[in-house]
Amino acid sequence: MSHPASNEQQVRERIARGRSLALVVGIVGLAASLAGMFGIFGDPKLAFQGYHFGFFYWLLLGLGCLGMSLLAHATRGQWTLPLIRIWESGARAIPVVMLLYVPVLALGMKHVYEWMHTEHVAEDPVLQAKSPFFFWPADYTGTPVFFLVRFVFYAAVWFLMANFLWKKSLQQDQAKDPIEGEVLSRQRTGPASGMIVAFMLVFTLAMVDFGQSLMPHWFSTMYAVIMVVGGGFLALALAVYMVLQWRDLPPYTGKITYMPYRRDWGNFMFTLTVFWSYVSFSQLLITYSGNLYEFTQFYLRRNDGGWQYLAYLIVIFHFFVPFFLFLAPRTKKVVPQLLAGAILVLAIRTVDIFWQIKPFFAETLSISLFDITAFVGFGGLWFYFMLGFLNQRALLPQNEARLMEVAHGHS
Amino acid sequence: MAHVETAPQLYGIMAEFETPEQLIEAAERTRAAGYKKFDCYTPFPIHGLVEAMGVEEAKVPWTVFICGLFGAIAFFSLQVYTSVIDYPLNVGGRDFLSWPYFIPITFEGMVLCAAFGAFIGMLAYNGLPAPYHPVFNVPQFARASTDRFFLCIEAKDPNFDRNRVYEFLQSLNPLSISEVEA
Repeated sequence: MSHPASNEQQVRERIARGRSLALVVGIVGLAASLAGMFGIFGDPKLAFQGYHFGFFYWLLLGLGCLGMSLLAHATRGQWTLPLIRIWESGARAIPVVMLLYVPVLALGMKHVYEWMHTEHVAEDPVLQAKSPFFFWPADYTGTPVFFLVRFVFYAAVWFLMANFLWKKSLQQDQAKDPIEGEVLSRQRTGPASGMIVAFMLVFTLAMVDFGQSLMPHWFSTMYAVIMVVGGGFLALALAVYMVLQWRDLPPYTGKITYMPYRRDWGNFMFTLTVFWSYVSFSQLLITYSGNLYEFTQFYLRRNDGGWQYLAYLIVIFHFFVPFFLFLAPRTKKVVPQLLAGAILVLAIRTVDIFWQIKPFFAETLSISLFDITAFVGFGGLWFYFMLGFLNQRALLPQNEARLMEVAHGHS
Repeated sequence: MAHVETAPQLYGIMAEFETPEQLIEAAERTRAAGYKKFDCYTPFPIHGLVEAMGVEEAKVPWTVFICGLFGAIAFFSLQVYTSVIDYPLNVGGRDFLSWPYFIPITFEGMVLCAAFGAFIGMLAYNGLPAPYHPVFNVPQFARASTDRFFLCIEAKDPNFDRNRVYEFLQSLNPLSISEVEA
């Protein structure tokens, strides 16, 4: 085997240490959030809304991991090989995030979703017309059965997809030689391509439920696209960050993090910067041209009450700075510079998702304690499971002819 | 110099190699020997050759950047001039300076000018079109487009000395060495 398990020990120990820390932070964060839901730290509404932000963020990261794994298996890009195990593990941790959302479903739907307020819906023909999407077969005074059914459906679909990729990769690890490994790797491209279509359809629905329905009069056909690009960007930045952090430790040394791979990673981050900016701006331009209140209310809320300053920050650090940073060939040559780029992306993506979600709940720029406790709570548990999955298998794909070429090649 | 410059029409001295690896090594040693005016000719792009030659390729990217920036500013300004200053037009009660509307055109202008910068800049810096180039005077050079790799140290190099360059190239174990007439 090209990567004997013995010299991976250091990375595996770091993963194990990260896991314990993540578990502690996660439990503390979640405990604080749950306590808040029972009104221990004031208005429970803030606790539920903060909890929704934490859920949305880590769900998006998990889905980004799933989307990137699908893309990697479908296209068989060589540059994905050092990162793919991180994505597969992250995708497999999605059910944890879904499960942790149960307190909101059980106790606090009213605090998060405006369409749960029977008295609002009763006066509002638009919301009444939309209510079957959530309440079918009951009417809007009942339980949101259809919404809950979809919730379970999403969790099942994402688990099955992530598990399928996980099993197929494990099969390759256990193949008898790289030739069999290559055959298995090629066999995955078909199902993975088909699953990308299913993934996008399910993802679009989920973004209607967990994102757009927070402002139920508003809708945007660009929303799911913006979010899937943002999720994939987050997953890519995280994987690049982790691998580059460990670049001096086997198995990530030498050619696993060498220049041609870093160039591809940097170029892909550049691509996602541009694509994210393109779809985000398109949504703004279409809204601006249409000039109808049902569309503009999304931006009116985010361009006022202090939220506009976050918007300026996002324009600068989500477009201009990464645009030139990832454009420069130097960024891909100098490891700390690419690492800084990945950290920048992780930071500004977090600001962006906060700017996307929080103004649904608050008219003025504000951050509550529960936004933070839920963020670290979900994050801690997500990392606990994700790192656990990562440690269960080889850290790099085994019996992978394309990786062996690199490891033993002369170029 | 003891040697008399008898051939002012000499363009340079060229060595022929069989493999890309030999050429990369030759380029590295040529650079290490202090020669600056030399060039490599290959039938296909070779990874690592540019680095081995030590070529600073900063000109085209900066040309593209400046042209792109010019395009973006120029096209944005044009729209500001036409819709805000010269002929202010009320469209649905929006501001005259409705910048979101101007972005697509600004983007197009940037791409247009940047592409011109890349295309024309590349030709200009490469000295193209070049109807005549001295290296074609060497008969072996015909194989530069099929299966041979050439390195030519040019006479305009400040360190150029016919005999010493000849000896130096000899030390690289080429298939052949030829004088290139200008």
